[in-house]
Amino acid sequence: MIIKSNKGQTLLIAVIFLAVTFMLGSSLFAYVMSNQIVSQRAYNTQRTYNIAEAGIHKAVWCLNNSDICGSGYSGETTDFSTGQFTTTVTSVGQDYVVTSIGSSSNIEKTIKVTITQNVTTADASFFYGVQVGDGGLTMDNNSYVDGNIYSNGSIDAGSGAYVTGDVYVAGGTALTADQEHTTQNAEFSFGRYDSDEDIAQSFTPGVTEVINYISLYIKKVGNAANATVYITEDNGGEPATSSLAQGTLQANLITTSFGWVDVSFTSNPELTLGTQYWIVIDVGTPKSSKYYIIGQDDQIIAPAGTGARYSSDWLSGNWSTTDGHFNFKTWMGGLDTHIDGLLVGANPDGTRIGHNCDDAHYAIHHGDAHAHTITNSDIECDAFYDVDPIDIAGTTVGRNSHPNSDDPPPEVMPISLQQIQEWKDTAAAVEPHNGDYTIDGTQEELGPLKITGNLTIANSAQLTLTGTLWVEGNIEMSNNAIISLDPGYGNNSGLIITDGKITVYNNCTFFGSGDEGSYIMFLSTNNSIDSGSPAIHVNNNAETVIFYASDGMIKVDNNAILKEATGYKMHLNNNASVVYESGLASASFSDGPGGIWVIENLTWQEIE
Amino acid sequence: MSLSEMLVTILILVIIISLLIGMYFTYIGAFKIQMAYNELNSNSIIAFDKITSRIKGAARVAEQATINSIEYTTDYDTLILELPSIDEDQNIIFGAYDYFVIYRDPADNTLLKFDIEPDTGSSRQSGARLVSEYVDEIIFNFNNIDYTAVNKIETILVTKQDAGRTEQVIIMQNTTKIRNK
Repeated sequence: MIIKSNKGQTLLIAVIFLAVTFMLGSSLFAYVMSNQIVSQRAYNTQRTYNIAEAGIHKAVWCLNNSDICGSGYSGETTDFSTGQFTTTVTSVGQDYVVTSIGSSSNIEKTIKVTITQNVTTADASFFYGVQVGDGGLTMDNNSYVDGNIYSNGSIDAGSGAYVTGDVYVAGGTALTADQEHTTQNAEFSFGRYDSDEDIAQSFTPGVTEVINYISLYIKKVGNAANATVYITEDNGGEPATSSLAQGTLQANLITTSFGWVDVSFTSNPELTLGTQYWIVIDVGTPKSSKYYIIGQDDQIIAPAGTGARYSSDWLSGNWSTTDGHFNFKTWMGGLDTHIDGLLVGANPDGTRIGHNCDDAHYAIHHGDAHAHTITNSDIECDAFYDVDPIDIAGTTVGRNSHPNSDDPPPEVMPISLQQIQEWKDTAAAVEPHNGDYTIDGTQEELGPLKITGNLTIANSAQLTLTGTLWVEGNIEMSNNAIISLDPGYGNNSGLIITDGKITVYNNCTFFGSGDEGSYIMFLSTNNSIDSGSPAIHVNNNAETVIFYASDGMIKVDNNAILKEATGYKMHLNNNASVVYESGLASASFSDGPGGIWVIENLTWQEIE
Repeated sequence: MSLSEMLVTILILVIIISLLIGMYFTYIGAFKIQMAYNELNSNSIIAFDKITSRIKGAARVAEQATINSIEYTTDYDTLILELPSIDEDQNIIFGAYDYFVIYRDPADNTLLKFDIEPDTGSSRQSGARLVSEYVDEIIFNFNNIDYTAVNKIETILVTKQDAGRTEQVIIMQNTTKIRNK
């Protein structure tokens, strides 16, 4: 029998066709899905890492903010919509070990770190009772400084104003840099290996004038030692092997972040317009873990015989060329400065030693004046000035006169902007206080802390500093306020920094930690030199304190007594005084007794 | 059925069968690609995760090191890391470092390997390990020309595998901060 029916063939073909199409479609779908799944797993892995690290950072934050998380923080479990972290904080000696397990989408990552207290100290040397920048010093009637004065600007004194020690007024510095190269697109390490022990940079003055100081854009790695900076003549396109001037690159002014640092010289030679000279930096012994890094512009082509060099020893005269220029500025002198109307070398009570500055007295007290011009003054011992007699007119000299003396070199401010920024960063490492902060009639402990508004310490309030305070607004301390350092500072000093102005009213009292050599410093970066509203205004009776105005004026009113004052410009009102304490020559500023909790370097590890 | 009907029927059947065979081979091809891609992707992710994990836990980049008697130099495709040594309890041994290198095998540069020379007290196991066998390219970019100052490393890993008539390529890129720097 022959079946002639064709019914069902189309269906059969359609089913086969659909089946194959389905298989193909399934395959492509599976392909896309597997791709998506694998990609998702990669994403989840990274996310789990991040969640575990979030747990670490939360633990650090809580240890620094015990007022929010509570004391004795031992960890937590926190859920997110995408996962969770579980932290365990275990005390180990004086540190904490934090283990954070992040989990997300069936993936687990475990990270372990050690948290330690970061207590850093920075040295600042206050060698003078009063140190003043280019703004100069005004001393009203009967004001005095029991110690030495170093001023980069002129000193004008009223009747009865006196100084017990020496007075130096540096030759004035031009307001703008004479030569500079400030573009930075690279950096150069030196003082690290034998081959790059020393570096040099050429410059050609735009005027014939003395060089007062230079600035370098520099940072350091590790605890690098001081380096010596020379100015040399040119020797066939390389630095000469003898120097015209010598200064010290002070390591304590340099941090691990780039910043401009000034270097002054022990003498200020006159350089000639259009003649090439070199700045040479000599790092005694290179050390691979303690060295400097200077900013560099390696995109510019320096003409032959100029630019940046490095050497194993600058005295060998063998130099290699590196691209472009190092970052530097040169500051020339040329502005005459003076001392006018000041008694120099008096007894602490203001009485004169009576022009009896014999060798025995001189060996102990000195009482010298050094300035381009010294007029209408009494110098109990020696006077160093420029031209006789016009630069010593109206002045009596108790011992020896030294005409034709070079102007004293400018003195670099004892704290660099880099260091100030580092202190601010320390204070900002914990949760800031937003807005104004007032302590009114109560006792409080503060620090480290950043306050975004003003800080007011009202009548009879007591503030104990437990770490560095950074106030973005103004600081006002009124009658009978007491500000002291926590005893945990030991023989270190502590500080309060403000971007605004500081006003201290009558009878405020300041104490260090109680240990010898411990002081409290108020530092303002405000640039007001308006006598009516200065950066720092100190009224009566503010003792045992250091005031520092990096860019502005310090005005000290009647009867106020300070330990030390450093400012761009200063005004001592009638009867105001600064009584210097010798321990300030090596003050060491600390973050505080506790410091802040940070992840200890070299302890981050993933537990597999 | 006439002859002409039969010829038409045969023609249609030939077309359908050809179509089905084509579909079959396309499916097989797609399956191979899928398998290759899966393997490549998994391999890349695991390798990349291992690399970034080691970078995170490093103390610093070393410019040169001799690891198991072979001298390595950090370069665009070779990375030497100093890892803080760990004891058997996974605690860091301060002051002791294991030297760890990520490199392409010179004998077969599709192979990416780790090698490690642990400090004497370290619990890490010495020796080379295969990380990936599909490497087409690995590039390390550093955020400082001075290796000891490097604290961020960009890693670009390109893996490639044949899948029939096509090539599967995966490019992974990440910038990793050295946590202990």
